[in-house]
Amino acid sequence: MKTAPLLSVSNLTIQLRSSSMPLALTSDVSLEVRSGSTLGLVGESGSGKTMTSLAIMGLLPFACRIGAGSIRLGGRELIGMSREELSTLQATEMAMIFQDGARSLHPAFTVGRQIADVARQHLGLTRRAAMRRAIEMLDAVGIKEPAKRAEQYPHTFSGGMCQRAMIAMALVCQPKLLIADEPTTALDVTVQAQVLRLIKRLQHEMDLGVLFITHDMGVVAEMCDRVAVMYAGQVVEEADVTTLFERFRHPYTAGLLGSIPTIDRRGRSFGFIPGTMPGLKTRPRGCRFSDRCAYSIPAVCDEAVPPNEKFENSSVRCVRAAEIDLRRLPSEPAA
Amino acid sequence: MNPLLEVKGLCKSYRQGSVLSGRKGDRWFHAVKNVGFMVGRGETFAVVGESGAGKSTLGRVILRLIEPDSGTLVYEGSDLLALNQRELRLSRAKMQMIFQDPYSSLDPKLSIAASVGEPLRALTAMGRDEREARVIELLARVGLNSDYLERFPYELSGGQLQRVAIARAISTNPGLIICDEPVAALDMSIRAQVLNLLKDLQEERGISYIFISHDLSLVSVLAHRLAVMRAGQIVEEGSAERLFSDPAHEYTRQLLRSIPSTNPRRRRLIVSEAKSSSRGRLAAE
Repeated sequence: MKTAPLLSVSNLTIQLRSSSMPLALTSDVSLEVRSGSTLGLVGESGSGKTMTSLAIMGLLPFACRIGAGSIRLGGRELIGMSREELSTLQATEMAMIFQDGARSLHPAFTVGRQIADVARQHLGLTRRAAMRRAIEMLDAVGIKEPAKRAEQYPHTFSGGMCQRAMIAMALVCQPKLLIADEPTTALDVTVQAQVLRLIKRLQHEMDLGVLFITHDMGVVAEMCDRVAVMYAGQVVEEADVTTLFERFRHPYTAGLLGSIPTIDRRGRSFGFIPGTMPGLKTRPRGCRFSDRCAYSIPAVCDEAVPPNEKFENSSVRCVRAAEIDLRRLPSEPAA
Repeated sequence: MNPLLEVKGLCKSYRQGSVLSGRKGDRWFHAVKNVGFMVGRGETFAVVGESGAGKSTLGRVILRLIEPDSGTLVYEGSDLLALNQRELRLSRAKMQMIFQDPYSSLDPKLSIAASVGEPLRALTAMGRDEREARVIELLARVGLNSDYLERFPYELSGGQLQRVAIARAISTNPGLIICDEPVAALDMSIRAQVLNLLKDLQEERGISYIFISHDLSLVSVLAHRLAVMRAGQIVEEGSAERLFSDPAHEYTRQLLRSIPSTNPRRRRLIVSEAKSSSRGRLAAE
């Protein structure tokens, strides 16, 4: 079980380049993804989850830069790598899929051509072999009549099919790491279920490490082995999925779980977190959640940024994690 | 039951044609097809379905933002389809709407105070001072203090804007508000805040909601009764209790089965693939 992780991000800080005083989009983010397993990265918009994943892919926008930390994929340090080296890794070692499959495909090229191009570029296949490979991939992601579909343009594909085609493109060079950034958020529930099953199946077949970014705790419960919860640029809690749902220790995690509407909680008013996430310039000095936290106490929580505290199956960024008792939430009745 | 709103045999279809040639074809697309239901006072009636099911069209047709082809719409005993334009405009005081995207449903050039006060100015005989006092009161009710009065939509977050939209919708004390995916664009913690606000307002004021959403688990929190729509038609309607515990229609069952579980020990969608080794199936499917 204790093999070296496929991806390990440690103490990653991403800063905005522009201002005189460097503003940190994320600070001190550490994550690990192992082959064949899924790490969920959850958080609300602005928590830094997408920035973290773009940094891993080497796709940070120019306005941002990595201030500190390290990103290692299969033992190799990615920070400081040349553009050419990264470009090769971006297909053969790691790949990313995005929320809007339809908009991530080029509208003016056939779907088959777009997948084949990746294979030609990175696997050195001939045009014909690359197209054969593209058709195989479309077949593998469950697109019917793949040879015919490969010759069609993205606008003839439904949302779910676009996302399948994106997955085919991402996996055509058999990467070891797949970063999925809210891949099912724009899809209908029934289609979401199909795409989630597809990702899970391909993960098993290819022994993929998956970094799954989502805001949907239901999707987390279904898909992930471990979960990292991000808030205002920091990972506030990291745990295996059952521990996170049953023995969560950070008040923010508790609030998120309390905000899930579920059928079992029907009719009852559900718990919620007051206020909104602070902006870059208005983050509290100590614990960044302290201004919204029901458990925060003055002179303790707003003093210094809490370090990561280790527990049996989790690590938590809260000075009071050991002493507070977050009421166990009624999720689904135990089997 | 003495219903607040009664909808019968409502239809709206569009002729399908080529956008490029402008020619109209002979095929019709039925966005809403023979839909009927009743909404009681103080009740939340949810309409759920996947994209393209006709939920939003239905919501708009009920307010006559889109004119229906046929059917009847009776609100508090009066026939909405018989109203002329002036009467229809005045009826807006009784029936309001909240849209999915608060960024596009508020006028970017109007201050928050002006947006919230607009229905009062247009639909009531309230004087200016009274109106201003009422706007402050409304904003306070949705959790925004008077600092926000002179701000503009771009200065507010999505959750705050949706609160403004709610304040505007309740300004004329309507009996019915149609909520079209009111929290779909919001973050999780904010979503819970807004849903709780809608619930509290219903308890206080006895407002009825038609709550349109694609998210069954979300709807389960506040709906009293619901209708499941597919391809323009209601395939199943019933009390929330019955529909969630004992769905009759196969499509409802399929929707319920597709909802992710919130307990990692009892996964619904991903059935222990870890155990049944599936290596080598790549070619099989």
